[in-house]
Amino acid sequence: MISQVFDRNDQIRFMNTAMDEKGKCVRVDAKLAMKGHEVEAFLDQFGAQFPIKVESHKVVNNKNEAYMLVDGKKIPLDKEKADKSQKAQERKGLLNSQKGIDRD
Amino acid sequence: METWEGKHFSITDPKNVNTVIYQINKTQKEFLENSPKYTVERLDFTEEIRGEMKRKTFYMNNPSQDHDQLLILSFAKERVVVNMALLQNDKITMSKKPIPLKFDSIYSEQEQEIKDFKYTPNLKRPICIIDPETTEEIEPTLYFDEKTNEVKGKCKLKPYKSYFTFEIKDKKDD
Repeated sequence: MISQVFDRNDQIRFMNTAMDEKGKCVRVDAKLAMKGHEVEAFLDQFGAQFPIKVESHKVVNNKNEAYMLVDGKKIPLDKEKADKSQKAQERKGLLNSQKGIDRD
Repeated sequence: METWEGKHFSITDPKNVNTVIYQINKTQKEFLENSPKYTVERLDFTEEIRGEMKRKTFYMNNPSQDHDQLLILSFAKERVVVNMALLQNDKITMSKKPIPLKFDSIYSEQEQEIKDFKYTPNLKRPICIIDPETTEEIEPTLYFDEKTNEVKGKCKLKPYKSYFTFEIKDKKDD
């Protein structure tokens, strides 16, 4: 469950980083950066976007190119990134090897 | 040819809001010695303009069989909303309480000079630095410091400007 991995500021640590006038890097703790009423007003902008429906697509990694097939459309992928994903999918046991001509 | 199944989903960004999404990967036990416990992978996206809104489709090309955790950052002028989500069984469950942050900006109209922010990277503790205006990551340039015999990193940061940084960690690791 999400609460086991995320626990607000305890597990995702995020900071505002800024440079002061002397060029020194300054980190501001997230809690200190929150400001009451402005925060609420901002949250209103993000209402009603959810829940999100998830769909599947096919990822193809050939020797020379990598792409996704989404609703019949071919969307190119960064080859290096696809190779990395392929290794991860292999480790997860989710890879389908196909020999022969690539028809996609 | 190798193939596998990816996942995709769409969200709509209101005017002047720019959302980026990271998949959080937990490192397998056998690789923990030389790797951080968690790594993040930024999801690719395509976008479609709809009036003043942007419909973005995010592609997850390394999904897990059971579930995946996502970090959703929505940047707006001087603010960011941090949301956590869980992708499971073809649906995304969002955390009930997003975390809004306002940048304590030290913006100035004065002429700006880009300065190097030097640090020693800890490969077991990756930190992501994002320019909130462009939502692009600030990638460090690595170099070898012969004096200290260490690999060091250099990021170019603009003074008088806010950056957003985060790292993923376990509560007990603090």
